[in-house]
Amino acid sequence: MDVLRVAVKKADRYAIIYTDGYINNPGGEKIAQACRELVEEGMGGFILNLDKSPSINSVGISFLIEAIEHMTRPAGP
Amino acid sequence: MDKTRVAALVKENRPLTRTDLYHLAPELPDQLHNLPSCFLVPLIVAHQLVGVLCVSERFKQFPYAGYECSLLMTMARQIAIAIYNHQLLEETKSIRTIFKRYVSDHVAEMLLQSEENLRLGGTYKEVVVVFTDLRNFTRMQEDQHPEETVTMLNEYYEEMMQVIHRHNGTITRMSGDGLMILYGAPISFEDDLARAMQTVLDMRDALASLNDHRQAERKEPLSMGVGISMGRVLAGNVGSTQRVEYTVIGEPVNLAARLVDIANGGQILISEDVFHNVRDRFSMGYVRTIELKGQARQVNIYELKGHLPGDIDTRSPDLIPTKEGEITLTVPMWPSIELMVGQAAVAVAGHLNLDDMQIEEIRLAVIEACINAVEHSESADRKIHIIVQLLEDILEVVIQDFGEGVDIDQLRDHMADRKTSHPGKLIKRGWGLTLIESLMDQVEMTSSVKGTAIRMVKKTK
Repeated sequence: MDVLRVAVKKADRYAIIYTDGYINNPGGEKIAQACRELVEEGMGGFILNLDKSPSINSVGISFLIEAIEHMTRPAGP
Repeated sequence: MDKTRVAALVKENRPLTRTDLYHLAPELPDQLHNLPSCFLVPLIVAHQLVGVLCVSERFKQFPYAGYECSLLMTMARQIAIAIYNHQLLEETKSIRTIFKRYVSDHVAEMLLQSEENLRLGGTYKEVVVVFTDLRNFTRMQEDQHPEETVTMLNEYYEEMMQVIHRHNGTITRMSGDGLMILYGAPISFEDDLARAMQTVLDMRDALASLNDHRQAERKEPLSMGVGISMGRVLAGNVGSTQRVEYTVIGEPVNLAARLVDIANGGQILISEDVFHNVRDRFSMGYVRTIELKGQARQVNIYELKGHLPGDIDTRSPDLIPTKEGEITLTVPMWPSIELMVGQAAVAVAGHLNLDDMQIEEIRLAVIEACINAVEHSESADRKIHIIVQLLEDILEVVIQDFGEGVDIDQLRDHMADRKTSHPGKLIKRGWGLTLIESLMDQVEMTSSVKGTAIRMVKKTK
C-alpha cells in the first residue's frame, strides 16, 4: 500500500532526509537505515523533512527515536 | 458326534432309541445309558439339534403311553425353543460387547435396531474425520520391553476410548498407536462437528492426566498429534459376507491423515472447512498453507487451541451490543490498512462539532488501535472490526478483533516495569495504548480468549 520513499540530500556537515509516505514499521526502518548510513559516512547531523509524510504511527516514531539515539550516541572505542 | 447321524435325526424328528443316545452322547455315564425305563425326545429347533429330553422312571419298567409320548414331544418343542432363544440372546450379547468396543453404546444400539444399517454397500455422507497418532512411539517401542509397550498402549486406549464413546464417535481404524474416528457416520447427529472438536480437546486433557500418572512412575510422557477434516465421503460396509469393515473414502480422509502427519506432539491441526465452521466457538490460529498431494490447490491449515468459554459469543453482537445508528466496518489486516480506517473515522467525525485537532487525534488513536489489533491479536480471521457511534455530544469508536486476547493487567505492569527498571532511558516500543489514552477523552480496553476490544470516546467541546 503506501510505501515510504526516502531521498537524501547531502551538504558539507549535515544531510537532509526527505520522506514521502506513511511512516510506519517498514517506513521507520527505512529512515533509521538512512540515518545509520549517514552516521557511518561521518555526517555530523541531519534534518528530517516530513512535509510529504502526513501520517506517522507510534512504531514509526520509535524508529525516529532510534535514529536520533544513534546520531547522538558517543562514538565507540 | 456324528454329523450325518445328527442330520438324519433332525430330519426324522422322532423319539430316540438307546442306540441313538449312545451315538449322540457316548460320554454320558453308563448309569444314564442304562436307565430301566426312558423316553428320549430330540430337542430340535430351526433345523438344529439343541439337546435331548430324557424322561425316565428308574424303578418301574412300564413303557410310556401314547398320549404321554405326544405330551412329551410337545414339551420338547417348547424346551427347544427356549434353549434356542437363550443361545441367541447370549450370542447377541457377545456381538454387542464386541461392537461396543468400536462404537459408543448409543450408536451401537441404533445400528443394531435395523439390519439395513449393517448391509454391504455405500452411500455419500457428510462426515468429520479425526486422526490421532502418538509421537515418538517407534522410538519408545524400541527402547522398552514389548510387554511395557502393550501396557502403555492399553492404558492410552482405555483413556481415549472412554472420551470418544462419551461423544458418540466411531472408531473405524486402530493401527498401532493411531486411531481414525468418525463423526456423521455410520449415524449422523446435528452436532457432529462440535462433538468431534470437543472429543479431541477432552482427549488432550485425558492424556495430560495419564501423563501425570506416568511421570509419577518415572515413565516418559506420551505426546499425541491430531488431524481433523470434514466433508463428503463415500461411506459404507466394505468386505464380504464373512468379514465386513465400515470404511470411508474421500478427500477429507486423506487431508485429515495428512494433517496428523504434520502435527507436532500436542498439536491439533484442522482443515480450513473445519475452521470456518467452528471459529465462533473455539480458539484457533492460522498455522500455514499446504499443497495437497496430487492436486494443484493449496489449503490453509489451522491449530485448534481450546474451547471458548460459553459466556459470551464474540461473533454475536453481544460483546459490543448493536445500537441504533451505529456504523460498522470490517477490514482485512492488510499492510497500512489502519490509514484507511483512520480516514473513515475522520469522515464520520467531520459530522460532529469537533475541531481539526480533535479530528486528527481521533485519526491517530484509531490508527494505533488498528495497529494493536494487527500486531497482537493473532486472530485467525485476520480482520479488524470497527464500530462507530455518533451521539449528541460524543463520538465513540470501538476497534475489535477476534484474536487470542491479551492480558491487559500484565500489559500495564510490563509498561510500568520498563519505566522503573530503565529510568531515564527511552522506551521506544509499546506506546500504542498510552498514546491512545492521551489522544482520547475516555478509553476502555476489554480482552478475553475470544478477542480484544478498545472503546474510545471523544467529547465535543
